[in-house]
Amino acid sequence: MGVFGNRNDLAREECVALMLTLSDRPWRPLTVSTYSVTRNKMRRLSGWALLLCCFVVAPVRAATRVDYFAVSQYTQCPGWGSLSNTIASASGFRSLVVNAGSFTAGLSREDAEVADIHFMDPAYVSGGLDSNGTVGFDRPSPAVAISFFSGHGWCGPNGSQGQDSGGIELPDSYNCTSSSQCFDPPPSTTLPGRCVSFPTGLNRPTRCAYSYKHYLKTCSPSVSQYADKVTYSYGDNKVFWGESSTAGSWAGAGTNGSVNVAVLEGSCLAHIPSWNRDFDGFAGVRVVLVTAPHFNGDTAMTADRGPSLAQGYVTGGDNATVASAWEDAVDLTQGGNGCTGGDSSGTGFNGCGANILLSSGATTTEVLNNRLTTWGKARNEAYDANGNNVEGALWFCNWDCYSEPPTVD
Amino acid sequence: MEKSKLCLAWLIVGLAMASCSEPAAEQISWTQTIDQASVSTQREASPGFLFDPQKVELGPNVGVTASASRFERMEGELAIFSQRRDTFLSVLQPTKAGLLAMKPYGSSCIEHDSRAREYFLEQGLPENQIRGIRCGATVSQVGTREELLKGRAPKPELVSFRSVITRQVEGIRIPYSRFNVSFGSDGMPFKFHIDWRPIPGDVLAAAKALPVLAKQSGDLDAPEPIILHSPGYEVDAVAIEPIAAYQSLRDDGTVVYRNASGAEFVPPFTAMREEP
Repeated sequence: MGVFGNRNDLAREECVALMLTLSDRPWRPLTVSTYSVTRNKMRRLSGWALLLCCFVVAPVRAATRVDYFAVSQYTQCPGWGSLSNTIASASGFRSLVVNAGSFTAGLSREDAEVADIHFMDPAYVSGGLDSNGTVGFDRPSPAVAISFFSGHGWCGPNGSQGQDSGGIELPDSYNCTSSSQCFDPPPSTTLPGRCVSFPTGLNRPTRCAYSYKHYLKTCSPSVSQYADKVTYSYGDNKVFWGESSTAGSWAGAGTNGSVNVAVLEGSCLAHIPSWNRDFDGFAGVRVVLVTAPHFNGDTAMTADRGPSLAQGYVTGGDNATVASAWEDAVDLTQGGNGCTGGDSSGTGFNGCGANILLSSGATTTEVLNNRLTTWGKARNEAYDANGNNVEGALWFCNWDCYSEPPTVD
Repeated sequence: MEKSKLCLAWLIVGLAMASCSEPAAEQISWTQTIDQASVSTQREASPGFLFDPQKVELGPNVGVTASASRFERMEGELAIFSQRRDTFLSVLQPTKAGLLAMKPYGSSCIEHDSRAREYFLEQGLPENQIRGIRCGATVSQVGTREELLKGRAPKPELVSFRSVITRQVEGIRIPYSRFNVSFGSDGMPFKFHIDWRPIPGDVLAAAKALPVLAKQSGDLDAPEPIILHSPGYEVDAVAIEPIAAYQSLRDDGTVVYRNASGAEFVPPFTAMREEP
């Protein structure tokens, strides 16, 4: 089996996909040229598949909407500076994918129209409105293919990303050579600790960093009920996304969600080595795309990250993968000064970082399938995650994080 | 079902689909865009590079796909190739099957960058236009939730490397021109994004003549003369011609553009756009 899985996994899925493709796109004529990848199969199967779709198989709900939630103005939230590019990034993504094909524009919520409760699940959080049809990040009707958040994230106590204590830089004794030495978390951080390392050119010592509870920051004091903090980390999670009828209610959040691809753009939304603790909101959502700065930098809030993500669909269409586009978004984004400066500039990070793609599943095979969701399947509710027993991440790093990994074990 | 009824059912479904179809997307034929490309190179100081579609490996069952944009697209079972001839953008993307079949090239960015430079030159591109090469790795980590929560994450596996060759012409940086490539284990690209368009001589001359500007408040560096063009993946029908401009980076990582007079401006492709 390769890193991504096994080609044999495709057989069943291709067969299902063929029928779903037919049922998912009832208003366009199907021609051999439009779906050339499956051309020969279609010749053999299209008659039976069409009949099955019309007469036997219940229609699968299409999710075509792309919603965005972008916060630029934080003037009512002391301590949080305004961000100039969030709306441009989120709306730029949306307009490109809508103009290019089969997605449709959904909610456009900006600034004070974005409140913490719009992301929270009512099954777990009093007042949660994530399934509300006019404000919810995970609204089931009309079903949402992609929901995009752009705004501030929290970088831990004193903005230290779990690396210092009380605003005082940790002494050199906190330097480490192994994660086993990281067992003394500063206040507001928790175990497990990790010995984080940096690319050689940066000449930074390895040091311990600890887990903390991440949150998205909204700024709508008159509507928000939880201090404009959308917590989503293990131990304090208020979000459960994607719990559709096809996903099932395994997360305990009912079946009143729909989002298939969630995009989270902001500071410190997750860290590369602790992605699994940092985001714990799986309830059926297939992939979650997150900006994840390394511990020496932060996300650059640049206008072209969203459009750079969209290019994968603009150029590749329905059969291209969302993962490939999120990978490209690192290399196409102009903003940011990069991992090591100089010619490494751009990538959407000030410092080292990665666009990471998270997925869950009941099995490893399901995770491997979900992480390679295509743009076409992103509009289809049939492939939702059926569990979170297994979780996976792809790290699209802006440095050689294979040869120089972000932690020392 | 009787055969005649089956045929009738097919006919009705077909007619319904045809009657509800979207209007045909605007299409530009390969030959039309070749003409456009040749026109746009007439006043060039540096020629563009248009990848030869015959050279891409897409796997079996290759077909040309209709597109709602100015791209021509060819799809095979393993990869998708798209091209806009008016902007010289060529993009190769693996399909899901292509990703499953892919094995990475080399074991470090150093090896991958070396192959990227070699491949760049094999395509006939000029070495003196290489501004720099940077590289990133793509890795995978999968584990059970319980083990991951305990911090017992399995060792990440290498998926691929990505090399990005950035461009300059006679010392002037062209930030949106890119030669991004990822190689499979056979040393051939399984993915690329090549945007290497012609640079008109008068634009290059204008960029070289831009006066030195002082560092602005909140910027990391003094504004740098550049040649700016739009990203080739824009759906918008008209590509933005290259222009001479300044670029600087704010301390928050935001890119700022200034015109020849030093006034800040927002390029149309970074401004918010409305869907139809």
